Amino acid sequence: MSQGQKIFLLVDDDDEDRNLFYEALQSIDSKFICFMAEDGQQALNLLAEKTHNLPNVIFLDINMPVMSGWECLKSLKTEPLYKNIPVIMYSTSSHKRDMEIAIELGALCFCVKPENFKKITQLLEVVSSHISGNLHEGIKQFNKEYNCHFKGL
Amino acid sequence: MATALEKELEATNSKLKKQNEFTEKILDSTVDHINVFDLNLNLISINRKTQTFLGKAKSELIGKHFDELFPTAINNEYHIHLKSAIKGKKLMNEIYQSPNKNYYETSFIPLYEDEKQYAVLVISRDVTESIIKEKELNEKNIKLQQANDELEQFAYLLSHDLQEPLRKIQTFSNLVIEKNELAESKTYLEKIDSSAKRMKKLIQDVLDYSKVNNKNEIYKIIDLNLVLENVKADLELPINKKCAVIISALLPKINGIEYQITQAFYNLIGNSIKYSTNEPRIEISSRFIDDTVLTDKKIEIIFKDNGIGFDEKYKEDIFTPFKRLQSNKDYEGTGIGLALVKKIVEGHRGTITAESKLGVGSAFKITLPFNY
Repeated sequence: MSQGQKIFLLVDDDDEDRNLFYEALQSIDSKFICFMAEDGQQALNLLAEKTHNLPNVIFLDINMPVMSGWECLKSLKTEPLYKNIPVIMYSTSSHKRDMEIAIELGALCFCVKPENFKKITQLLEVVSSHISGNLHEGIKQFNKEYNCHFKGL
Repeated sequence: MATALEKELEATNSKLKKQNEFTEKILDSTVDHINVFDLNLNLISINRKTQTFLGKAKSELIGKHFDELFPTAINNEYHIHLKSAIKGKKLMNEIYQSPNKNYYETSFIPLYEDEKQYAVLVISRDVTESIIKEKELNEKNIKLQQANDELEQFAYLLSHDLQEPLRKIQTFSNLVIEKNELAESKTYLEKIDSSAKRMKKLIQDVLDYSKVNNKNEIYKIIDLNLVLENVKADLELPINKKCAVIISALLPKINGIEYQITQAFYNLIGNSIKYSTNEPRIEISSRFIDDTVLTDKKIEIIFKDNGIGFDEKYKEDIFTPFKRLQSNKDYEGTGIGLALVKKIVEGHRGTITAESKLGVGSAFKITLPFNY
């Protein structure tokens, strides 16, 4: 990985959401790299291939076929190679129980998928600008606007 | 002098007799069984309740051994408690089930004379009715709890799945507004339309699912061959599109709610057509299962296909509302189809199970009581 290159991994079975995410990311910086996986199992397979090129951050949907986001998160957090990669749970649901589970299982935070493109872009701007610094603090500023749920909040 | 003493004795005797009669009257009027056994388990006192129960005169019963009086109760809880009481142990309000299946609440009380035990008083009350009521109440409570849990889970899933298409409607509407370019607008508007359609389908499916709760449905004799014909007609388009072949043996008639059974057939056959890559081949057969233990006849209906199948570890999950093993992109669906089938089958006091092999096909087995 070259210095300063930022790699995202989005795990989402919804191709429209993947496209929106990708477009938003490219509109910030076209040099950003974005890996995509359609379910948890695909994500784990992809990571196994990219051991020398691991993503800086993982956005993980919850309801997916084959392997759900929860199962994937558990696998990520028990694997020494991946457990330090920050995981942002990224789902339509804003159920309190999901947010609690996310934190229990070691996700950085829970983020409800924004309902407009501009907000997706804003979210990714914040994430990308804090990616090598304090991501936790970075998104924390965004908390109120974003309906994210953070560790310790 | 002698006459005075005699008179006094007579008076005392008469008083004692009255007291005795009074005690006996109380003993004979009570709903409880009140009996006394000596230390050798011989009956030394019995009240009318037990006499009636045993259907014999008092004279035939007094002096008889427990084993002779209650041969079916040897070594049951009553017998064991009585033997403990003979060794001096006082047991209060013990509940046990007698050989006649009734429940009794019984106390075993050692009796003493000059600090030496000579007998055991046994007071026993039939509490079958209240025990059964309590059991029924418990069962109802459990069912209520289950219904509640189901509802909670349902509401949770519903809130998630209904929000997803809505969110996209918002996202793409916003894009139309922001970009305001004609060509792109059309694409986005199409996406809005398809999301709206999906939302509509979801709501319809949810309504279907909740309607199955209705208890006031009419049961009647349904010819499953006709049900199948109707479903085939409804599915004509997908059948032709995918060149599906449906083979069925002669199916029986069952007692059921017609529109629900039709819905179950529709969902199962519809799934077999949908979840297939090549030409679907669906076999529908049935057989009777005689359960000699329960002496009730059951009918098993089998839907077998050559579709994409699924990993057997999901064979329970597939019946959970909104649980999907496939993405929307590959196979359209709302995840309610099989949940609805299960609910319908269980509403008919039946069961459904699934077997499958990835890439080979699936088989769904419905078992229904055969009762008309």
